[in-house]
Amino acid sequence: MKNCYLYIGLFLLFGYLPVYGQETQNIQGVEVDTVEYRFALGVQVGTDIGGAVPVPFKYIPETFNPYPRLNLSLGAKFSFPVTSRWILGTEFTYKTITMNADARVENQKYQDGNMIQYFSGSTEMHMDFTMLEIPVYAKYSLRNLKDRLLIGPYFAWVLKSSFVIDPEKGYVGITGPDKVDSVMDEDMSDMDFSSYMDMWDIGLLLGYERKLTRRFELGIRFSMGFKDIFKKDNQYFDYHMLHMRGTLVVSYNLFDIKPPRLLHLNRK
Amino acid sequence: MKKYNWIFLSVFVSFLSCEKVKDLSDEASVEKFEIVNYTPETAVLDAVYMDGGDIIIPVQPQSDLFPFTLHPEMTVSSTTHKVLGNYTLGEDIVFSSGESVVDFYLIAESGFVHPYKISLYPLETGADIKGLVFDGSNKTTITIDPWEAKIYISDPNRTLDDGETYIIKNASFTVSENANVEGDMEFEFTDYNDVWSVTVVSSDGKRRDWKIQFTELIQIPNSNFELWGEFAGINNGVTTVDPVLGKGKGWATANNSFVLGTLPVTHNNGKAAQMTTKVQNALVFGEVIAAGSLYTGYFDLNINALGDSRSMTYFGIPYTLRPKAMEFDARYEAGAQMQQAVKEGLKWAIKDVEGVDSGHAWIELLHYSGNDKFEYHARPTEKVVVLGRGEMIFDGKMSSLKNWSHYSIPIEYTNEDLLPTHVAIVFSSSKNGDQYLGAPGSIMEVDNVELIY
Repeated sequence: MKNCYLYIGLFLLFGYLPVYGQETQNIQGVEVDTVEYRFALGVQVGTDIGGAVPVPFKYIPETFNPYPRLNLSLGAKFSFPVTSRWILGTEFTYKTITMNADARVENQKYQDGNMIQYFSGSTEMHMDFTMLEIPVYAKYSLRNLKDRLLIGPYFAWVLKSSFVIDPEKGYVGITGPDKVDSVMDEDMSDMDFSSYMDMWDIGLLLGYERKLTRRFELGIRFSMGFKDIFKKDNQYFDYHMLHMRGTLVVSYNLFDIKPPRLLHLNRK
Repeated sequence: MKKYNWIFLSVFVSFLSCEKVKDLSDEASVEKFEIVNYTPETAVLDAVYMDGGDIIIPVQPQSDLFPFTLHPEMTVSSTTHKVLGNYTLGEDIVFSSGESVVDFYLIAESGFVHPYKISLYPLETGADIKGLVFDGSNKTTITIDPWEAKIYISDPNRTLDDGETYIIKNASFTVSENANVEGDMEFEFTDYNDVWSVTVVSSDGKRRDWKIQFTELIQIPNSNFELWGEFAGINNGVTTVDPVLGKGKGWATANNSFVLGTLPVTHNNGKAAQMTTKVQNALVFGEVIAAGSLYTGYFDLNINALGDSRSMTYFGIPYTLRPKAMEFDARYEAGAQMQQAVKEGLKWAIKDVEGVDSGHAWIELLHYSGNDKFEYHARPTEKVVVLGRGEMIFDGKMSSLKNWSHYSIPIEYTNEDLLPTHVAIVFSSSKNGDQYLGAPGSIMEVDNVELIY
């Protein structure tokens, strides 16, 4: 519940930022630029590279070879300019993030209730998340009004997810780490965590975007989740697995709605 | 722009230089194993040799050999990541008897496990007994212990009870080349503590005394199930029945870190073995039905053999007699709801099924003709012949089974020619537990198992 308040607070904070910028400028009597439009709707396509990453990072295995798979994401974006520099935006993007990885792990702990086992050896990991991502961000246009920085929280509704670890070779210690209590065959069953995955995520998104033409924009983003990909109270690992990804996105503005008349607020 | 090219190139090169999991070696081996020193210093050793994963130390038996302490120098291949198990690099090895074995594992870079074993091999002393025949010896079991220089004789048709005696006539020893036996060739045993001895003199005059003893008909140690505990190297160190003579030489359970299916209960002012069918949580693999079991042999947990629990249970212990029957005290009570674990995708899930659970008790006398390590999972096995069998099913529908009773299972022999080498005795709280079928809560209690000759 405590986290829930935190997440709501973050959403409100980032949503308020551009408005605060405008109000501050008004209070100080600074001339406020006009906005070109009140609302714009665009469509966007993109792709993501990333997946779930152990946090703290020290738990990332020393030998870890990720093989991300690029999937196309589709979405709609809504922009609400507040000033000529500040834009409040939100998006609805349907995306699938897929990553396979090989790792050589050492005494990887799995715990379920009182039962603990430590796996050491080579594994393949397969993770796949299909989600509806809804970021709410504030965009700030740099001096040239073409380059923009954006920051804001995102909420993601995870529609489908899978997380499977396929131990290839190695051994399991049941009496403790560095014990060979069971030797793995190469055809050992996969360890499927899919049913233990949570259905939502919330995190922070940072990005840069460049206006290529009047309608086209190119953006790169980095987003990081704040919550474990597993359901609450899981004890499988010693660490958290958090969503982390980079995104490349191209958007096309379909239309915008102009204001009834342009505002000119000058210092008197 | 040139600056950015360098950045891209650096990233690309560092990606390529990352160590790939697929390139990690599966190989790990012992390159050298030499003995630097040993105690007692009077021990006579031959050159250590390796046969696959076996490191064999030839040593001549002598009266003060044990405990035999070795300080070896072992080097491993460069692709060896770790040495785990009961041997630590640079430390001494202590053998408490000639049968002692030191197990350890070499872990390759990839995590691939290479098991190794260090054992002793008795060298010829020149004054050894290798065989014994006497009148009627074809009906007896003769065990020669070269380390202790002892010969044990047992006869399933004879005892020393009620003043009976056992006489060995016309004994003929097979001994080391050009060695001679001094002493009588006729031995009379009136008591199980009677010990006769003969002296074998080698060609170079070395003398070695050998003791001969008539032993009781063999009952499996701890068949009243009074002894339980936690033992290193057995059932992952969790509570289990005491095999007394060591792993694979007595009673065993399938207890493991996930489930304790067989535990002691109070019975007749002592203990009995209680087997309980339970739901076993197998971590992310789901849940399975696990029957409690008690058997002769040993258990080795193997996570990847969850679909085939029998492959983790090694039935049978060395045994060379032909009992007529097996008797025991027992009670059985079936659990309320039959359930079965079925594999759904990658996981096991439990579903209710029709029927009533039943317990199971069986005995098999086995003859193994192979040279490799004996391995039997109660299914047709090459070089393993079932000579005789007896079984009893405890039908859970019969409420009378809930009370303690004395039972006898006769053994029917289908092969009269071969001598047994092993005996497998099994009790299970769910007859089809190996198929993950049973009723959680089914209980079977067993006490006082006796082989009848």
